[in-house]
Amino acid sequence: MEVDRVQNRKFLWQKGITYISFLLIYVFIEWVSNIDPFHNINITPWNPAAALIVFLFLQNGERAAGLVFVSMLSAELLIFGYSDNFAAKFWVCILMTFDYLMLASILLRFCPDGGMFNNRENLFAWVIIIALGSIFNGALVATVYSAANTFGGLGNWGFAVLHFFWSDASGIIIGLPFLWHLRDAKRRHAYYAATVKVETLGYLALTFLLIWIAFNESKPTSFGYFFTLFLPIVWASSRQGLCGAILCSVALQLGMVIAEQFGNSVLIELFDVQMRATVFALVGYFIGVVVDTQRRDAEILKQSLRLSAAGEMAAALAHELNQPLSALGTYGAACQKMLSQNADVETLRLAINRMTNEASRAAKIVVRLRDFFRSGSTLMERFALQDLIESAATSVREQCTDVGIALNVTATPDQMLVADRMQLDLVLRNLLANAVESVAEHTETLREIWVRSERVANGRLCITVEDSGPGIPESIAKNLFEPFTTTKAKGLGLGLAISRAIVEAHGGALVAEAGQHGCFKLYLPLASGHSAHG
Amino acid sequence: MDKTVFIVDDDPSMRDSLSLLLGLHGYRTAIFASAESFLASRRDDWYGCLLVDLRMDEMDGLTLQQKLREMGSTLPVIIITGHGDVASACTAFRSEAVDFIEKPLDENHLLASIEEALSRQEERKNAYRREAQFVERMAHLTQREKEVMQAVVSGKHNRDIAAELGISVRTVEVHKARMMSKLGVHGIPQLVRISLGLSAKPEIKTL
Repeated sequence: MEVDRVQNRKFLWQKGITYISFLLIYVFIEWVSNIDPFHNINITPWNPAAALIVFLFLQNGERAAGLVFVSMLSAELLIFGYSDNFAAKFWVCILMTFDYLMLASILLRFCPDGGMFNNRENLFAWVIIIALGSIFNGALVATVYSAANTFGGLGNWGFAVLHFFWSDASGIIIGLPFLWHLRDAKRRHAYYAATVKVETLGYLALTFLLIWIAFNESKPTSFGYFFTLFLPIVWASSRQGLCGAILCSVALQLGMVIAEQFGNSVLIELFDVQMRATVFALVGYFIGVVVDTQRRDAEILKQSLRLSAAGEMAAALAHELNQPLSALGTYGAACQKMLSQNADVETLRLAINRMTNEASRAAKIVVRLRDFFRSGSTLMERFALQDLIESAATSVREQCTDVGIALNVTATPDQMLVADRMQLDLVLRNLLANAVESVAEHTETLREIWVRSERVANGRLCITVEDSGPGIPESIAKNLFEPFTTTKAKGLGLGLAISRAIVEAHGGALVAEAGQHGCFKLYLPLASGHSAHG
Repeated sequence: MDKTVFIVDDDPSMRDSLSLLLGLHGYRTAIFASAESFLASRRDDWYGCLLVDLRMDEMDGLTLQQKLREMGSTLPVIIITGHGDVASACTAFRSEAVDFIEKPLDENHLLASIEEALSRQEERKNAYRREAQFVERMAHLTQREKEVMQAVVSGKHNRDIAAELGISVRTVEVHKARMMSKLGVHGIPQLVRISLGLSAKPEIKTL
């Protein structure tokens, strides 16, 4: 009981602190953003606090209503002081609380990811819901103040609604995605992973430079340069997706507000600045969402390619595994027969030796399969180029001898590589197997395969696999590396697609050289000049 | 050559283990690493059965089976395979394979199939021998006896045969008895069966 009470008290304390901090942050933001208030009431051209409220409602639902109401009222009183229209302010705060709550619930309902968009379709819904919610809220607020005679005339009512709408909508559109992406450890981690990069400094610097140019009043035409601010937002969103777009939008917003306030510009109002900032943010979000979707799809495709390659590999290995298992079974049956015939120990031991050989042959096949699946996660290790080439060549050497193909491995330089050995091995084996198949099927006279490796320009290594086969037909050369492209009767044509994905993951390239013969070049970046004896 | 199980498989361990096991069961075995090497050394008097892997690098088991049939070989064929599909099983049985066994091989199943293959070949050999004997004996028949035999086989009664050949029923009976004893058959049904078997084979002339 005592423990419970202590726990309970601790919990209440934490809750209290959270509430008070929210209140303080809210009042602070309202204070900071209290620029050009409309008729000395809480309609400002810039309202980031709205994003904070919607975020709180998205997270906690209607339980947060009390806190929101108290925060809004406190901000009114602390910033504008007690005045004769207190009753109107009181009612406005109540109405706005409900309106924000409604907006948050509609967002939760139509945008699946906790009230946030994650594809093009629900980005549309998200923007429309926020716009309609802000117009509705603006109309309510303006009506209440009109009724309280705070400002006169119908023209002013319309102006107030428009201002309220733009300030709220821009505040939520620019602020909410930023808050939402930082709301829990998982999202924060993903957000940092996408944006904590040197490149981010680049577009942020560009943002501030262009803002400085656009707001520089010494040149009267400067506002004409506003359009250049599309550059950093497009840069950020096309390179870093939605995360970059959100960061750049927030930077643009802050930069533009600061420039407007502290620059000596009088030609542009904050209201106009906000309209532009919102448009920049929306452009960024739309590009970012498309980029993210495309990356996700590419990832899914890569994953499914790996799966189908694994499937093909598994089918091939299942066939291979059947041989030693079958032989093992037959040797076993033979041993039983020997026992029933009282065979001598030596004969029996020979048969059992063969059984263990078969068992280890089966085990090796299983290891290969396991290694392949393991290659799903890249494991960088340091190994010698010779070992890589040798092991890949060994895999086809026997086959080459059988069908009379000369396999020439020439002049491999002393070179250490840092890469996923298993994956590169797979790529080389695949290239060699293709070469063998091509030569075996199509060439009668000159049956040769050459494997050369050499250091080339830009600190790269080039491994060439060339064969005396007919080369790649013109008709498929163009999409040779696309999945499901093949010249073979058997197989799905995934080998080269997978191989290229692996090589590119290593920062290298895999190219098919056009010509009379089959020729593939595999380029790999070298870790700054280490030789095997270095 | 005596009864032998000819094993054709490109996997050395499979060849070796099969040869060991079948050897222990008292079969003579001969092993070949490929269909080509089997065809190269094959002789017409090889007798026994063929145990061949379906999937091999160069010529596969079904092609070998087909080639042997074209050469007129009567060696019964058992196909063994790592992964049997219906299409290749159909092809195999259409070419009169004795069995189509999946790896890993079941010892008893394998032995039963080999036994069946050998007994099929034995039976075929006996039938062949009987037919050859029959043809040889037919050479000793007189022209009249051959005519009577032809008529009997086509199911005619003695009276009809007599009318057809212009001889008495009694004479027909005498020719018939002499013909049956020369051919060594013990009744009309046996005579019919053997002669029908011969007429199905174009290379052996019934008359």
